[in-house]
Order: sequence, then C-alpha cells, then structure tokens
Amino acid sequence: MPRLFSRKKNHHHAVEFEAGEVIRLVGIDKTFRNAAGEFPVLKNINVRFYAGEFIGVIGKSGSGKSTLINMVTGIDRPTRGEVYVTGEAVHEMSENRLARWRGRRMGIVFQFFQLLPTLSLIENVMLPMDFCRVYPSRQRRSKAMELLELVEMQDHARKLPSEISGGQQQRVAIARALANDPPILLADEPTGNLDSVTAEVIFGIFKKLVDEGKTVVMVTHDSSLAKRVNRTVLIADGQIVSEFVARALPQLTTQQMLKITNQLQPMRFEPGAVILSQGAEPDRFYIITKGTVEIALQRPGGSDVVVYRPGVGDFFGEVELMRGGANLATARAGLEGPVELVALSKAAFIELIQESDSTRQILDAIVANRLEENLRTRQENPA
Amino acid sequence: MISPRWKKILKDIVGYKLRTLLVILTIGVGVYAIGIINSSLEYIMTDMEADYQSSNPHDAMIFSDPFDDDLLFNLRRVEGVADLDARGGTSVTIHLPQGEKAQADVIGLPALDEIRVDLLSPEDPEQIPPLGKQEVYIEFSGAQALKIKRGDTLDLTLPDGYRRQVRVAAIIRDVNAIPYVFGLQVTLYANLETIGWLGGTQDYTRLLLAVTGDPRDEAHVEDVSARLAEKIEESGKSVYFTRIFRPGRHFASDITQSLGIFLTFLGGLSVFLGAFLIINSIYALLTQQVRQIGVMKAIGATQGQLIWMYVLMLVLFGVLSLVIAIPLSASHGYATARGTAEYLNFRISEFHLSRSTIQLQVLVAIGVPVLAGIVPILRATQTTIREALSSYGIQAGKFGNNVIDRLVEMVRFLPRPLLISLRNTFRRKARLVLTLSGLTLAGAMFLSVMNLRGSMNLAIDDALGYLLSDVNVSFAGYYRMDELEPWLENIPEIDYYESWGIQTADLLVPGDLVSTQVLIFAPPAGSRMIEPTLTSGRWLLPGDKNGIVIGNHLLAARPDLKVGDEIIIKFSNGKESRWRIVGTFIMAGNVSPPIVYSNAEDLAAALGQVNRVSQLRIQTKAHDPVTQQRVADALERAFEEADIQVAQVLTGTLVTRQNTAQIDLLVIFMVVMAGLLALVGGLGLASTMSMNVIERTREIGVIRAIGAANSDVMQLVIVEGVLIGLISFLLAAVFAIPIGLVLTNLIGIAILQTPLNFVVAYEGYLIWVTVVVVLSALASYAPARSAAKLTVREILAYE
Repeated sequence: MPRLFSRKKNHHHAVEFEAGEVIRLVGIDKTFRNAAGEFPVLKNINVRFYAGEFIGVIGKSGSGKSTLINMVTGIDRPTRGEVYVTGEAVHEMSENRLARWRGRRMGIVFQFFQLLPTLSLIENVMLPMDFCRVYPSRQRRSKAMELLELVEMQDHARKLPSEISGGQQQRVAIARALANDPPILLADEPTGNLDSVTAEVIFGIFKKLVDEGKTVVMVTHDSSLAKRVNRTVLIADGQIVSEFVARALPQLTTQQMLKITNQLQPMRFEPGAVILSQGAEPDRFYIITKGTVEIALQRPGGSDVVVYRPGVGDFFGEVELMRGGANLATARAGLEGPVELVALSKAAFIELIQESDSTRQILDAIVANRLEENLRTRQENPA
Repeated sequence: MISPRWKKILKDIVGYKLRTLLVILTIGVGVYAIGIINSSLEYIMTDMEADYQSSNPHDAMIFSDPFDDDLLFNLRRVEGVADLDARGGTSVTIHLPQGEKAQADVIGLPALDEIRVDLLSPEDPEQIPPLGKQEVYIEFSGAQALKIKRGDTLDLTLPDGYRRQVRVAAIIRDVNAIPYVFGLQVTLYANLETIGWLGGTQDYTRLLLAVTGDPRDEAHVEDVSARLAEKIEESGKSVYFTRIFRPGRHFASDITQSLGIFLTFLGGLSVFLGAFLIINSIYALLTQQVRQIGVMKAIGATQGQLIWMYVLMLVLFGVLSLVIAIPLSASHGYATARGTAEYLNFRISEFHLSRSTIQLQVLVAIGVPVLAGIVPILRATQTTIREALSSYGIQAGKFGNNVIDRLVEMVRFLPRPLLISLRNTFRRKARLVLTLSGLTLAGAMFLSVMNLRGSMNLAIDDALGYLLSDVNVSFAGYYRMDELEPWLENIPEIDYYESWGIQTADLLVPGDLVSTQVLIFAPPAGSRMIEPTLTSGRWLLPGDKNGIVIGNHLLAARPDLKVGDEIIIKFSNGKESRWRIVGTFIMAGNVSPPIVYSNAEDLAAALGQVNRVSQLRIQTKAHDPVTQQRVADALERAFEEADIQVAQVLTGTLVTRQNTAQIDLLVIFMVVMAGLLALVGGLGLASTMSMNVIERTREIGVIRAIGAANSDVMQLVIVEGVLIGLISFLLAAVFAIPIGLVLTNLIGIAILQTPLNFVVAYEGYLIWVTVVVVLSALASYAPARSAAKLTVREILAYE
C-alpha cells in the first residue's frame, strides 16, 4: 500500500483533507509501560471525523476512550501512527506549539469541570483568551460574558466555582472551552458527574453547538445520550468496532463485533462492477460502507431485474450463507459512484451464527423476509 | 485591570493563607538572619572604629617616675610623636550603699581643654563640667553596673586605709577604658589635686602616646616608645614599663572580628538552609498546583507563560517576606548592636537603615527563591496534561523498589499503623532528603554551638588551673610573712595559703635591642595553687636556680624562644639578672603583658625582697562564692586593723567572671542563631508534612473508610514527623563533629589565642533531641489535624 503521508523531521506539514473532514487518525497505537510490563491501550486506530458531526465515543471503562480523545487533543502522544486535525500534523508538534494550537483550535471539557478554584467564573472563561491572545484584551471581558450568556450563566459571572452547582460548573467549563472560538470541542465524560436532568441540559448545549457548525466529540458512558448523537464510535479493547458492523448487527456483543471487525476485509468496486454473481458458490458476507449496491435477479433472457438497492450500513450475502446452495442473485456496484464494502469470510460468518443464538434467530428472520421479497419481485417481474 | 492569569497568582497567594505564611516565613527567616547579622555587624564595625578613632586613642602607655608639664612639653618634640598626653593615677575601693565594694582605678587628668589623647565625651548631651576639688567623673559602664548617678557621693577607701568622699560631677564615655564587665573595675577621673588628696602623687605618672604614621605597625610604636623612654631616662627618671596592646585597634576588635566571621558563617548557613526549605515549599506548592497546571495547559497556556506565572509568585513571596523581615531585622539588628556597644563600651550612631543590608536582603529574598524554585517550576510545568490530570492517586511516591525500602520493609514487629508511618517516611525520598538536610543542618549547628561552648568552658577551666586560689590579696607594698601570719591563723575558714611574688619586667635575649614586657608570677616552689598545662619542657622544681617557664602569649610575640634558652630580665628598679627557660605552658585567653612563671625565692632574690610578700593566695575550706567573699572581707578587716596596706582583694569567683565575660557574649549570639536555625528546620518539616498529607488525601480517605478514627489518622502523620525529626537528630549528631572541629579551631584562635580541645557537650544533645521531637510533633500537628478533619466522602470525591 503506498504511504499516504510522508513524515519529515521538524516539518509540520499539512495533509489534503476530504471535503468536511476535520480529524483523521491513521494507524494509531498507544502502549503504556510500567514496572509490570507493557499495556497496549490503542491498537491500530483509523478513523475520520467530519465538520458538524456530533460524535459519541462509547465503550467500557478502560477500553481506551479517553486515550483516543487525548490523541486528538495532543494531551497524549501516540506510540505509533499519525494524528491530523484540520490538516495539521498534531503528532509532530512540540509541547509549546501544541499548547497554543490547542488553545485556539480546540475546546476541552473535562468530567470534573476543572475550573480554577481561585478565579471567578468570568475570569475562568477569560483565562484561555489571556493565554492565546486571540482577542485584544479590551474585548475579552465582553466576549466571555457572551459565552456565559450562551450557557445561561451570565448572572453568576462574578461567583467562584465553589459557589455554584456541578451542572453550572460544567456550563461554565463549556463556555471556557469556547473561549477562543475553536471549531472542535472535545468532551471527556462531560455528564459523568452530573444527574440525568443536568446531563440533559449539558447535552442540549452541545447539540446547539453542533447545529451552529461546531464539531463535538464526546466520550460518554450514558447509552441514552449515545443513541442521540449523529455518529457513535464504539471502542473495545483499544480498537474501534466497525461502526457498520455495529449498525448492521446491533444484537452482537461488543466482543463479537470486535472479532468481526478484525476479520473484515475492505473491498472497492467501480460503478457497475459485479460483486457476486447469481449461481456462483457463496463465499462472503458484505456490509456496505460507501455507495449503493444493486441486487438483481437474472431473468431467463439474460436481462435482470434490480430487486433492491441497499446503501451504507446495509448488508447482503447472508441468505445463501445461512441456507446453503448457490447465490440467489447478482450484486453489483451502483452506477452513481464506486462502492466500498467490508466483507466477512464464509467460515467467520458461520462461526458467528453458531456462537450467537440471537443473531441466528434475527438473521433467520431477515433471511425469511428477504426470500419472501425475492419471491414477490420474481412474481411481479416474470421473465 | 489585571489579567486573569496574574489575578490567579495573586488569589493563590491570598487564598491559601497558611501556605503563604509558611513560605513567607521560610524565606523571611533567612532574610531576617542575614539582615540582623549584616546590620548589627555594620553598626558594630563602623561605629566602634569611628568612636575609637574620634578619641585620638593612645598607641602606647609608658609608666614612669612622676614627671611634670616641662618634661611632657619636651617629649612632644620626639620624632614619631603625633600627640603626647600625660595622666596621673591612684587606685581606691568604692563602698557602695548596699555594703558591696568595687575596685576603682582613678585617672588623674590635666585640664579638660588640654587633653589631646584618649579624649573623653559626655554621656549626657551637655558639655562635661570642669572637675573641681573632691570631684570625679565616672566612666559610663561602671556607672551603669553600679547604678551610680551624677551628683552621687562616693565613699572611698584609699590604699593606705584612709576614707574619703568625692562627688560625681559627670558620667563620661571613654572608649579607651576597659568596660566594667571585663575587668570588674570602675574607672574614675579626677584632677591631679584630687589625686593627691586621694593618696596619689600630684604629678603625672604615665604617658599616652599617639604615633605619627601607621599605629598598627607595632614595631614603629615600639620604636617611638623606646625613644621616649630613653629621653625620660636621660632626664633622670626611671621608666617602669611600656604597655603596647594591639595599637591602632579597639581592644575588642578581635572579639568583634571573630564574632563577625562566625555570624557571617551562620547567616550564610541559614540562607543555604532556607534555600533547601524554599525548594521544599515550592515543591509543596507546585504539587498542589499540578492539576491546575494541567488544566491551564489544556486551555492553551505555554510552558513559558506558566513559568513566568510561578516565578512572579515567588517574587511576590520574596517581596512579602521582605516587608516583614526588613523592619524586624533592622530594629533587632540595631538593638543587638546597641547591646554589644554597651557591653564593649563604645558609642553607637543613631538608628538608620543600611542600604547595603537592604540590598543584600532583597537579593536573598528574591534571588534565592527564584534560584531554588526554577528546577521545581520547570519540572512541574513540564508535566504533561495527562500526568497532571491523573496525578492525584494512591500511587504518589513509590515505595518498595530499592535497598532502603527493602530494609525498612524488614521491620515488621511494629503495630501496623506505625509501620505505615515508618514506610511513608521513605516514600518521597528527594523530599525526605531536603527536609532532613534542613533539620540536620539546624541540629548540627546547634550541637556544634553547644560543643563549642563546652570546649570554651574547658579552656576556661584549664585557664583557671592557673588560678586555683579562692582569695587573692595584693598588698600595696612588701610585707614580711611573719607579720601577716598571725592574722591569717585567726581566720578559721582559711585552709591553706601561699605567698606569691608578682612583678612586671622587661625580657630580652642577650644581643636584643628591644625588650618585651612580661608579668612574672612567682609561686613558691612546689605550689599547690597552680596546675599548668605544659607544652614542652617541665614545670619549676624547688631546686631550680633562676628557672623560668614561658607561655603561649610570649611565644606568639617571640616565636624564637625555646626550652634551654638563656634570657635577661630587667626589673623596673634597674636590676638585671639571667634566667633559663625550663618549660613552656599554654593558657587560654587574652593575656597582656605575657605571663611567665619563676620560683618565688628566685624573684625575691632578684628584687632584693627576700622573705617579703607582695601577694597572698588563699584557699578556703569551702569554695563557694559566699565563703570566698566572707573570707575576703575578714582579711580586709584584719589587715586594716593591722595597718597593712592592701591594694586589692579578689575572690576566685570574680576572677572566673572576668575570664568568662567575653565568651558569654559569643555564646548568647550562637544560641540565638541556633534557635533561628531550629525555627527554619521546624518550618521545613511543617511544609513537608502538609505536602505529604495533601498528596495522600485519597489514601487517608481509604484508611478512614476501613475504620481509622481521628486519633489514628493524626497519629499516622505525627509519628511520621517525629520519625523524620529523630533521623535528623542522629545525622546532626554525626555532622556536629566536623563542624565543631572547624569552629573550635577558628573561634579558639580568634578569641582565646589557642585552638580549643574539642568537647562533646552531652546536655546539648539532650536539649536538641527534646527540641526536635517537640518541634516535629508540633510541625506535623497542623497537617495531621487537617487530615483528620477530612471526611471519607470528601476525600474519595477528591479527584
């Protein structure tokens, strides 16, 4: 595979980002070392985030969620791999450059708020402005006040952190994170220390910020909140579970998803290219990660009829693998553009359904459904 | 308006009052020590010299047959004479209202406007009134000690036993007079007419010489004195002796100089010690700030910005400590200097702030914390955000991965809470080392000071081996022993007595041009009143014919002399005789003129006073001061009745006091400094303990959660503090030995003219171990209390 990014010492080079892409992690490994040995915390992480996304990073405690966020903020450095944020190579920056860059490009919200206890709320919000000098000093107070208004804390501006509740502290912490108007906000369990009502308010603020065009990456434990973001990244054992697997087979345990994720094989097809042919021996289970696929049944005359068009997150190929026998239909890349897929081998698929009864039952139901649909299509489109 | 980051620093200083106070005190103690030492030394050195020089001091004093103004006028033209003045004199005993007595030297003055050398100045603002008949001035230190005021009438006994009364016309300052505490002798001044009325001669008997050129050139002073002596002898009068004692310098310049060396050493040490503690305090402070540093970095602060913030914080601490230390040290420095000036009898200038002292203090208060803090600040601001945000955990301070830990771990027989304290002590090794160095240095200094004091006391005890009598009676003339004996037998408390000869004389080696003045003490052969410390040869034997033993003071002036040498002794009556050196001895203290010993019989023979006595040395049955005084009084009464003229009666206690007076000053200074060092050490321990408690907050929560009561938590912390204290004591005991050796050598040579024998003063060790345990317990009490106050919920929520 050709190297996408070349690294040169002491040269902070930018990379070409796709339209809307703001964060890109490439092959990140992170290993912690202590007297007892080495602990890999992140393993070969590849992920991209896009502007205006509200991303929920979820996973069990110790799975590596916070470490992943720390890679993005530059709070921690990868053992191997590359981190790009808005095109800049974070992993190559010096601590000092990183500090200044972080202050301007990123807002960080901590679980325990971390307001400085000796400064009033407005002073806490002004502090990043003071460090990064984005605004002239005359404007800082009014800017900070605007931010406090945004989080509805303007009436408490002169209070000390100890005089307000945890939820209020977190609002101020968000205002502080927004001090230098960064495009990206990273929040590590921002609601982890709050009751559900307060958590809802904080979530609402993030939602509003996303609507205004900010990108928010939020680590959370709260599954109800996780469902309401527009993209989730599930981490297990230091690896990202393919979001397509999670979406396609939500009945699986995280371990199963991860296992599958590791067995997936990425594939790419140009528009119109055949992915599998009717009558051939089935060998894979496919999940679509980009583009649209056409599933077509051959008519005796050689022409065919498209029975349905699965899109991103949909899967196909399971019917034959479960029932046995040759492929019942042809699958090919849609004509609108190239198609990207991840594929699971037949053996791995069979192992999976043998392991998980619920998956088998659900897949059985899906298969039955699809067969029925096939039949109906055939009847409606007789050769 | 101040920007938030500077505001944060200000608020951190104001908000954490106890910590701020601790840091300010830590810096302040060193700044205070430097200030008090520097300012007091500055006053002492400059004012002593200024007062001394303004009196146009004599460089030599020549005692001779009585002479008049004509001779004085002639002598003033001798080459090398800058100024020449003359004095008469006699000695009297003052009877004080409470029945006490004091010896007084009465100096016969010329008319006030004729005094050229050893100028006097009034104690009161007004001019000195001229002396009338039967009037005296009294020297300030004596007047103070004996509570004599202007206008008082003094009751005097003359050497011949007559009683006289004089009126005190003024209290005056005489920087050239030996202060009362040193000689236990009052100096009075009268005109020559009054001197005659008091039993002295109405003529001058001594010359005060101020030389041209460098007065510190002793050979030059000796030359000019010798020319004067020659002229006097040419006029047909005898010169008795010439006294040249450290010309060009105040008599106490040696003491103040060594005090200066010693105090500067201690001041430097306290700053050094302070630096350790400042490092410690700054680590403590930054430990508390690590998390905030992490947050500030996360929101965009660069390391440079953070460094400046904390450096400014240190500068502010320095400024605050200056605000406290400058006024305190300036006023205490002045008080110290005033006390010293009074003690050493010189006049001190008005209170003023010393620019150089303040400059030094500013340098120390700002420079030392910044220098000491730069490494901790660099380290703290280098902490990565991840480390900073996760640094409060149970794992702070590793234990168990080196030899010391494994040794400590082998101690298992103690109760478990004690074991925790013991092992906690060794968790933060760098910090432990810093705290220990502070406390250890303080302890080592204290112990060295106590050892030094012990060594000095030993030296004085040794010196007292030359003064084993309880009462010394000096007669105004020579008396036959059989004349005195009946009176002595009448006093039952007298156990034993000896008759001694005492005579000043000039000593020279055949071929010498210049002689050295010596004081000859002549005990009877086989005397029980002297236990000398010999350095070579042997002591006098009964059969010695003109044998002589010389001491370290003479050897300092004449290093060429040795056992076996033949010398010539020239007495004031003009007689010369030859003597042989049989031994050398060492005696601590300033002795001038140098003392030599001969057998009483030989001295009497040389003087032609065989079987006559000039001094009696008496041992009483009991040796306490009261008995000594009773016997002294009884002797005086008896000899008065017998019409035997007594010049002076001194008890052994008084002699000892004369000898220890100089050293007491030094010891007081040293103990005060050691106390300051102890304070610095205690502060350091307090800050270490609070640091430990802060770091282990979570751990304390866990201990509480599993059932530890308040007292258990407090005990945990206090025992750790006391353990540190005890370790520091052991180390201090070891380090006190080399420091003590250096000190005893330096101070011994400077003050007592001889290196001291090193003494281990056990009481010092006892005091210090007590102090250190109490100090450690106190220093860890506050942190222990705050640890005990924390609730489990608070602690475990403390993230």
